[in-house]
Amino acid sequence: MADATPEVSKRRGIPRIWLVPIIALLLGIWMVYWTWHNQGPEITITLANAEGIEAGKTKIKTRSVAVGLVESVRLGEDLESVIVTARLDPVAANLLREDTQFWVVRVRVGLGGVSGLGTLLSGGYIELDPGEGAPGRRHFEGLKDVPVTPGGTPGLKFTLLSEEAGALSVGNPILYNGFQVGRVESTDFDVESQHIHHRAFIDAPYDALVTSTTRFWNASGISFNATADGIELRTGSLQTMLIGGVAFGLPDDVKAGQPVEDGINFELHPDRKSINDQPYEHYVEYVVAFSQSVRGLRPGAPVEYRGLPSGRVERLMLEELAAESGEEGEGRPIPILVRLEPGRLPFGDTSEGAARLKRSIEKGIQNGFRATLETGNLLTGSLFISLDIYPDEEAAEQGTFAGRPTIPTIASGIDSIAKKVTQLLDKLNELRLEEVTDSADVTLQELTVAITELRALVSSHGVQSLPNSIESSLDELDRTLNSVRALADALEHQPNSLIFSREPTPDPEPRATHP
Amino acid sequence: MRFGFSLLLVCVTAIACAGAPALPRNYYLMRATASEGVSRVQAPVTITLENVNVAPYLSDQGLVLEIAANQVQSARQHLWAEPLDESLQIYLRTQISNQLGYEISTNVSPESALGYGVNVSIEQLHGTLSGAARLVASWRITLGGDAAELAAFRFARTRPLTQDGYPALANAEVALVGELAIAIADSLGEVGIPSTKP
Repeated sequence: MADATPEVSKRRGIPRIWLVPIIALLLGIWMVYWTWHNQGPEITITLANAEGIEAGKTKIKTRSVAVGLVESVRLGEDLESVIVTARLDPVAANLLREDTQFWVVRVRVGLGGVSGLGTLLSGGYIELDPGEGAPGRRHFEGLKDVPVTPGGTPGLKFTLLSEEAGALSVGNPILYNGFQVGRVESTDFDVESQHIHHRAFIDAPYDALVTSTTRFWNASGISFNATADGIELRTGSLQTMLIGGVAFGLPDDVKAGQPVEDGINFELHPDRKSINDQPYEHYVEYVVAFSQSVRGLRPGAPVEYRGLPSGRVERLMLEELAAESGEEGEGRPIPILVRLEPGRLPFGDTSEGAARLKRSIEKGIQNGFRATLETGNLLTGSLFISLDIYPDEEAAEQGTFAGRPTIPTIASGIDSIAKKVTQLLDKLNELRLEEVTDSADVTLQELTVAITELRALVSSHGVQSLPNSIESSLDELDRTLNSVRALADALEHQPNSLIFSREPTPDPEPRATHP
Repeated sequence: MRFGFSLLLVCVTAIACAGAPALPRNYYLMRATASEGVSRVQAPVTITLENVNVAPYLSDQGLVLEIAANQVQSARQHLWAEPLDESLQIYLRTQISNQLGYEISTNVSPESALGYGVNVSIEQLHGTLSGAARLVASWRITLGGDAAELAAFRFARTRPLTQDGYPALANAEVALVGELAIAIADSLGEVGIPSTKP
């Protein structure tokens, strides 16, 4: 029996048992990748404070659908802000764009109403407003206030500029003929321009109502004006009276202009009336100087040509007067700067129209074109400037004052009447009144006698009874003519009846009805 | 020659004068007396009987008699003493005043522009074949200087003759005019003009 010798063979390769950890490792790597690949983007939002926000609880929502969760809340490096880190669902990654906005939704109570009541029970959350810009942004600045217009709403975004904040605030309505078509979205003060910027939005399709000639005005509260044009009281709706609002429209006699695009700036006028003060783009400035009192003449007072609104008073040029005349300025006419708009007159609101207006005025001055100061409102004493042609005025040359052309003026109103009365008295003094009076006295006496005689004649019985006599005569004539006609009929029927009378025939006898 | 002509003229004149004698003419007066013993109060409003127009066939002075259908004849021996339009106006004014209790006027005066006006139109006034007198009339009541018409009325009535002959016809026509005056006075009350009579 031969001894069995084990044959030892050297085995090559990795033992199969190692397949288990290798597969486990690969699975782990794949799971890590899968997890990493399928988790949503992490974003950071900088907020003013973290009121109502809790890590692991506060959700991020868009259109009331949760798309993420706040993971951590920490103070910013400047210690004046809060940085919220949140993880969004992968499907929400596409919502993160350059103009995506975040804000905290919580209960807010204001003049415009109450919002966020739903968060009383569910707690606050962060609203995500998807943008339309370039994707990829991961850090955002949270909004302080809730935007009043959802992102992506079709319409027109623009800015209203005003010098005073007035009664406007976020959420105030924008009205067209009393109908709300938009709202004020934000209000801030621009230090450089020293203007209040009201960013506003008008919903489509009403944004087409806004053109280059559109004017906006503050429709808040009650407007009361007492000017040379009279007394005017305007009130808006109850909503605008309580919380304010903006209205827009076209100035009188101005047509709609060109369409406008997002981002355009409009001036916010204080009231409806003021939009007619500057409805035109082109104007020419003149100086008129009056020697009479200008009390009641205020900036903005109308300038009229034969009753047609042609421009307005800009200001009194007292500084220029002092600069030109120095200490000898006392007693000199008070210069007033006026603005004439060719668009109000048939020259057109163009630079060519302004040039034509200038030429017309220059030529008109030689033919008696003058300015007068008139009383517009006896109650308030408001004055306005009237322009007209006075053919009796001597020709004059157009001068300049402070670099601006002038329009000659003539006295008017009480001043003019006083001058005319003075001239009349002077002429009366020159008359030989005694002779005239004696002659007039004699004439009046004769006239009195003549009138007395005429009155006696008219009131005499003969004249008074004349109409009745005439009427009686006419009646008698009528009857005579009837008799003549009867005679003519008789002669026609029996020509010899003039000589030979007919046998008289008795009238037919009326018979009573006897039962 | 001259003698012959004169003789012919005398003969012709004699023949003419020997014609039938003219029949006598009878005149009838339409008059009403104001209510005696009654003192009239001052009229509360001015009422003017402005016009009384008569139909053209009544312009002759003779009383008119219907002798056949649509045929009338104006009497030659029985005449109204006055032109009919004038006597009608006087008669109506007196009778209406009697009815209202105060005087109305027939003369248009400045005060008439502020008062009421009555314009009467007599369309028929004659005797009929059936032995009656017939009166058809209409009248308008106006107010103010612009003569704004307030109301219009119509009157048509017949009255049988009590006897044969024109005197009875004249009496019947006068009586009919009296009834017309009463109707006019009543119509004034309908437009709000007061009467002082109960």
